[in-house]
Amino acid sequence: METRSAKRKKIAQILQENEAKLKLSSIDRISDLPDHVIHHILLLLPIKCVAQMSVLSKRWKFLWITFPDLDFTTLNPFPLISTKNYKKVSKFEKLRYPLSSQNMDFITQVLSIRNAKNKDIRALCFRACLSFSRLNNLVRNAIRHNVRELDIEVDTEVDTDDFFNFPRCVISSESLKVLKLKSGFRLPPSSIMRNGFQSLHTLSLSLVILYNQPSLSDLFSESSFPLLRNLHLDMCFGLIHLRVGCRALEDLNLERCYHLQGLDVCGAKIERMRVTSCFDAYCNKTWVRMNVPKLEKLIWKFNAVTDVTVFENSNLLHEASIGFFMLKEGKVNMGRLQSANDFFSGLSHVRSLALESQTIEILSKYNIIIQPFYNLKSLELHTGLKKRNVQALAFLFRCSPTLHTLILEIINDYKIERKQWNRDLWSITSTEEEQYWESQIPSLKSFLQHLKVVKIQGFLDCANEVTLAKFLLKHGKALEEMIVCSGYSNRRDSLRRQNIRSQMMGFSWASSNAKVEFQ
Amino acid sequence: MAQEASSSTSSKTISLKTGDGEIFEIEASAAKQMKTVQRLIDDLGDDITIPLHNVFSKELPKIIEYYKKDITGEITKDFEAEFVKDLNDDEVKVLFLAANYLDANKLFEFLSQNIADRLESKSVEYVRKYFGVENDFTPEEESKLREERAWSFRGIKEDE
Repeated sequence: METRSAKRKKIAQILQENEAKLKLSSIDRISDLPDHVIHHILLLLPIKCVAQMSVLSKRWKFLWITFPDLDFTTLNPFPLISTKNYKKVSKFEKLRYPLSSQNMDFITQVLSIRNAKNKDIRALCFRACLSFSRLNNLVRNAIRHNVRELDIEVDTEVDTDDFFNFPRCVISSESLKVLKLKSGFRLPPSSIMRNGFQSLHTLSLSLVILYNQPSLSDLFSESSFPLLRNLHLDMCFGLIHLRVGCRALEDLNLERCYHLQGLDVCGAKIERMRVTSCFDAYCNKTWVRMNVPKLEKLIWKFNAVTDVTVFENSNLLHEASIGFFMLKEGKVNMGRLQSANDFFSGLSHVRSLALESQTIEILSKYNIIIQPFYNLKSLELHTGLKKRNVQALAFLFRCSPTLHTLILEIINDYKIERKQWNRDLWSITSTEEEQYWESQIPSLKSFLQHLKVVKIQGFLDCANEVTLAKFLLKHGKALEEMIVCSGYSNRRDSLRRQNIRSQMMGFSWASSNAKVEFQ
Repeated sequence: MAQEASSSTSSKTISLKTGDGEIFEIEASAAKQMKTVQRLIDDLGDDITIPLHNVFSKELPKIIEYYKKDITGEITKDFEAEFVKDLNDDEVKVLFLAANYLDANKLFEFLSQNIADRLESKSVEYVRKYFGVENDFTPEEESKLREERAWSFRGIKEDE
């Protein structure tokens, strides 16, 4: 056991050592800080500033040569418009995005002053117009420096070049973790791509030309891209069939694949999926198959209804936002109705659902039998709330027996007349809409017993929404809060609005706890 | 002498002595956030006054103020904006050096960002003064470098 005096001596010794150490390192000049601390500050500055500081002294030049992240996108943050395409671009875009004529030759120079002895490059990001051989050299140089992140947006300068070929040197890189490539480029055959990318965890490909290989069924297979967690494919022209089955994939984002006819997603770890503006609306043999048991969040917007849907049930699905796309002249035949039904049955465990207006139009026009959403707690509906939508709404309420929160976003299409709420109508106890809602009470029993919060946005004092609000207040036994946000209207309507408000507050409500708020 | 179990250190205060001899008190939980202080406490015990030779009475109260807010979880963007509002560039620099010495991570990150924000619009000469960098290039070397870096000097606004 240590005696007190021994302990005191030990303390004194430590204090002395510390004092000596500290007196030696005089830290009253930032320049004496170690490189990685200064890099810490420099990493927060745009690359322009860091490059400028390299002229300060030899040490600062060294700091620049060893600077890990080369993000040149701060120099030209706007989307690329090459001189080749400048004439084709609309006037509007010309005003918004300046011409990216800045000569980016210095990128090559910056890379060349680093030699193999220096620290690896961690990230290289730039947007430039250059030739394919230039691009290939830059990429090869970065790979030689064991780059971990490549984020490149390129366009060709010359008219004669049509599209780039994918820079193949990235395929075999063992250090590359993130690859983001936006250009008009062709992919090499799957057989070449498949064996590489062993360390890649994020891949984003934008503007891919796939007319020569419209079917990517074995590129993203179970055995390729072993560490890939995030996959983003945007504007894949000519892509007709896609299969995604990477083992480690957690996040899939597919957008603007307008030629897509078939999609097969099979991922045991996929948690988030986003598919927007995909599927060929003019084709009548489109299909989608999804087997994603761990899916938690799904965004499915502006996609044409496919002719066949196979959607294995995702029990963990938490949140879904669905917006089918329908051509104006499009008809939904029996096959597609069944397909839409199958799609909804894959969603049946969802807890929070948002439906876009076209989806509600489809539900209004056609009779689709959907199984109830027993776990649904929050429902958000975007609708014009026209007369034909009322039945669809009642149907959706029936399918949501334990709903907690209802959000209605009323889209006001000024071209279509909606019946205004007339003060006199209030005294008439049953208009047609009111009668309809009253008739639904038995089937909406569970819904009315559970509904706690209602939020209506874009409320324009039209008959349909006032009737609905009145109905919910009158019969919602568990209702706690109703928030009514007005849509745009002119001052003439404010008097009528005041009337409606006072009337809504006036009659007896089913729930004594309820509070109504007007915003 | 029986030592009390250290489970109730949340209300304990630690004494810190600055390089110019003043003593300040901080809560033990705040001291934990400053790894250098914590290391000294581990070595020396928490009853003794911890000496901080490179932190002075001008900046330590500010640092204590920051971590007081941190342990109650109240640090917001507004608080941080207020915190640096009245400080000039040199005062921020001194605080940054202290945060680095104390190995106080959160404050270090916050001040790094603040310094970067302040320097972003400044000229190279200002940065030279700020960091106290001595120029060891010959005029020829410097002008050659500036030419190589011409792309970074391009487009500088006149008022900077």
